Formats: sequence, structure tokens, C-alpha cells
Amino acid sequence: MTQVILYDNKSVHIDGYKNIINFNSAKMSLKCKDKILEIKGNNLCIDSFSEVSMVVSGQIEDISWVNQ
Amino acid sequence: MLKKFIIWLKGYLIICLSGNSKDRTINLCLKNGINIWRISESDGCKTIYISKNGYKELIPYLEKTGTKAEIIDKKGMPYLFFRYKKRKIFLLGLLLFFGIIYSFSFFIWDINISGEKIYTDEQIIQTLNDYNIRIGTAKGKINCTELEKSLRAEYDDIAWISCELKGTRLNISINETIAPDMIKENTVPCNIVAAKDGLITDIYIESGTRVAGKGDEVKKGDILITGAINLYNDYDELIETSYVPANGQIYAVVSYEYHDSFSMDYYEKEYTGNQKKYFGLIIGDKAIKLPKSNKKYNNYDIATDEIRLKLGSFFYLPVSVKKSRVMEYEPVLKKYTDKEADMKARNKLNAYIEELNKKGVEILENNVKIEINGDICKADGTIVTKELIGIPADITIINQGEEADGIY
Repeated sequence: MTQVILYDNKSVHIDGYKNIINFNSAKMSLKCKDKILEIKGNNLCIDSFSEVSMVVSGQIEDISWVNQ
Repeated sequence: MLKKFIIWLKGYLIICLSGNSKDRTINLCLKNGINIWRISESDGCKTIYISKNGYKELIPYLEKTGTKAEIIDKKGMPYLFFRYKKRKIFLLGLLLFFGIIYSFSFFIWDINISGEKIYTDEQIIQTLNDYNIRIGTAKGKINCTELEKSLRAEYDDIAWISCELKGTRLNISINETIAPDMIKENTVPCNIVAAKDGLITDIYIESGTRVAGKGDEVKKGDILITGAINLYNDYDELIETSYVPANGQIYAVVSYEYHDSFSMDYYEKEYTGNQKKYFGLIIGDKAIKLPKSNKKYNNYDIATDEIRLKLGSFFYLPVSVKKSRVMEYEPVLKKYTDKEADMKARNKLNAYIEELNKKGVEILENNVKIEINGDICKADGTIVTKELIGIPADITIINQGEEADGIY
């Protein structure tokens, strides 16, 4: 199961992702169990990450699930 | 915080990844447990923070994915030492600094006294000085158990005391006893005399001979109970005089004259908002004044804060920063209204009565009147109390054959 916790629009904590598909300062795609999690915004930055969780900071504008 | 410090201690790199497989490289780092953090992207380059050891592990994956890594910055202690290895004086200074800080840890630089009510900090610090314990004393010379014993012997009113060395601070916690106001039992022959003028209402004698009785008006210094006990024979001839410590409780009605007056005009401070700040340093006992502005105010208040520098919670250093704020004000002449003046006079009277109450006296009457005459507010009258008035006084012991002077 993937859990997404949003702290205002400044930080997002993702728990249970598999790997990073692509990442730049405006968009980030993470492969999760069944779907792809897309985070859109400005000045996106991966603050910290481990094998199962990740903290992304920046000005987050949109988070959505995309079918693989 | 600690994690960040450990990372700094081990050293880390800020690198820029470029090429077509940057995300793959990051995923490989993730899968292989390479410690990277703060990944961001700018101008097609992915900036990552990586530990010094992590970078060594990253190199094979860079070759595998064809990603280029450019080191932007090196941070942390190993790189700092490397950078300054040729600057011997700097390194020496750094070592000296840490050496001094370390040597400071062997001394006490702050004394904290808590729980005192009767005694002041200054009194206790003076006593500590008498025991050669002062700011700057080596911690090894302080035996907390002995210090507790000495302080307890010095101050009778201290019920419990605890001394503790924490870092470079000596903490002294005191719990004072509140002794009831009672007449101490005397062990040497003495008289009981009146401490003030009054009308005796009750007299209880435990030892000695009664001189004054219930209903007597006495003046300050009059003997109330004498320690001299005369023995007479059947013919009322004095056979012997023995001397004992006179003891007893004598209650009397005492009148206190109360007079107070103040002007109806007064000055109130109105702060203009102009203020200047200046700083000073206190190193040990010496104060170093830092330059301050020449601007002078005619009327001003000074508020001073002293901040003791410390490392962590308990490592106090012998250096304090003194911050002073000079605030200009204009004295504005104002006049009390009748109600305000009455309130002020009443508050002062209540404070006076409260002081009497603290001494354990019973207030019987309050005949003080408050009047406003022109520019003066006056409070005059008497306060009648009932209280203990007997205090021990020296007795003149007359040997056989000598005449007694002014005792009876």
C-alpha cells in the first residue's frame, strides 16, 4: 500500500513507493505498487529518502495517480 | 541535529549529476543503500548531497549508467582540516581554543542559589567566599557533602540544603524553616523588660518574680518579671537573694502613632520612544565597556540584562554579555484626584498594617483618618494592637553586703 501525506503545499511524505521513474524541479513520477504517482510543482527537491519512503519539498501544486 | 553533526563530522559532498540516466543512478543509490539526500534539479543537472563514503560506492554505478558527476562543493570536518593543513597558526589557534574550553570545564563559573527567602543570594555567596568557594574555584576542591554540612551549621534557619555540581555550575537548593516568633528560653539569670510602652492585659510567669501586673501601664525598659528571687524569714527580713533566668509571656495593648503625608502633585514618566542600546563584556570579575553613542538624554531609565554565555545546558563560561537599554522619558506633572489620593494613602496604611501582622500582633483598633487639605493628602491617627512585649534583659547580680541599684 502506498501512503501519501501532504503537509500544506510545501512538503509531501510518500511511504511505500518502488522507485523513481523521472524527476525534475517541476515534475516527479514515482512507481508505486499498481499505479504511478505524479507530483507537480515548482522547485521540487527530494529532502530525504529510504528504500520505502521519501520526503519531497517545494511548492507542490498537484498530486495525481496515473495508470501504468 | 545530532544526525546532521555526525554527517558534518564524517564529511559530505555536493555533486551534480548529468547525462541521460540520472534517475536510474539515483534509483541505484536507493537500492544499494548509498546515503544521498536533498536531491534537486536545475539546468538539466541533478544536485545531490552524498556522504564521503557514499561517493566512493557511487563511482561504479556512474560508470555503469554513463552518468557524469561533478563535485560542486566539499563540506565537513575532514575537508576543513585538509583545507587548512598548511595554516599551522590557525590550527594551533583552533587546538588552543578547544584546549581552553576543555580546561574551563574543571572550574565552576556559575553559582545558582534557589529556594532562599530569609537570606539573600549575596549573604550565601559571602559565606561561600569565606569557605574559599567562588567563581573560578576548581571543581575538585569542592566537596558538596562537606559544603552542605557547613552551610547547615552556619544557618540555623535552613531545614534542608542540597549542593550539586552540574557542568560548570554549582547549584545550591535551600529550604528555610519559618520559626515561630517566640521568646527563647534563657539559660543565664536575666530580667524580662518591656520592649515598648503599653497597658498590660495578660501576664504568665514561668520563672522569676512578678514586678508588673495586669492593668499596669508600663514604659519601654520597665522590668516586668525579675530574675531575682528574695527569701524572707518570718520577720520579713531578707535572708537570701537567688538569681534565675526570668521567663514568661506578657501581653499588652500598644498604640502606634501613624503619620503619613504626600503631595497631590506628582511626576509621571512618559517614554518618548527614543532609546539607545549598548553592549559590554564581563570576563570573570572585569567589565569591558564597548563604545557607545555620545547622544545624551536629560531623563532616562536604564534596563540592563546580563546573559551568561554557556555551551549546552550546564557548561557555563566565565564570559557574560551585558545588554543595556537607555530609554528617554519626559517627566509630566500630574495631580491625584481625591479618589486616587485616598486609594494611595489607604494602600500605604494597609501595607503598614500588614507589616505589623507579620510580626504576629493582633490589631484591635484602627483610628487612622485620611484627609485632603489643598495640595497635601494626610493620614494620621493611632493603631491599637495587642502583642507580646517582654524581652530578656541583663540583670545586675548583687553579692551579699552590696546595695542594689535601680533594679527594684
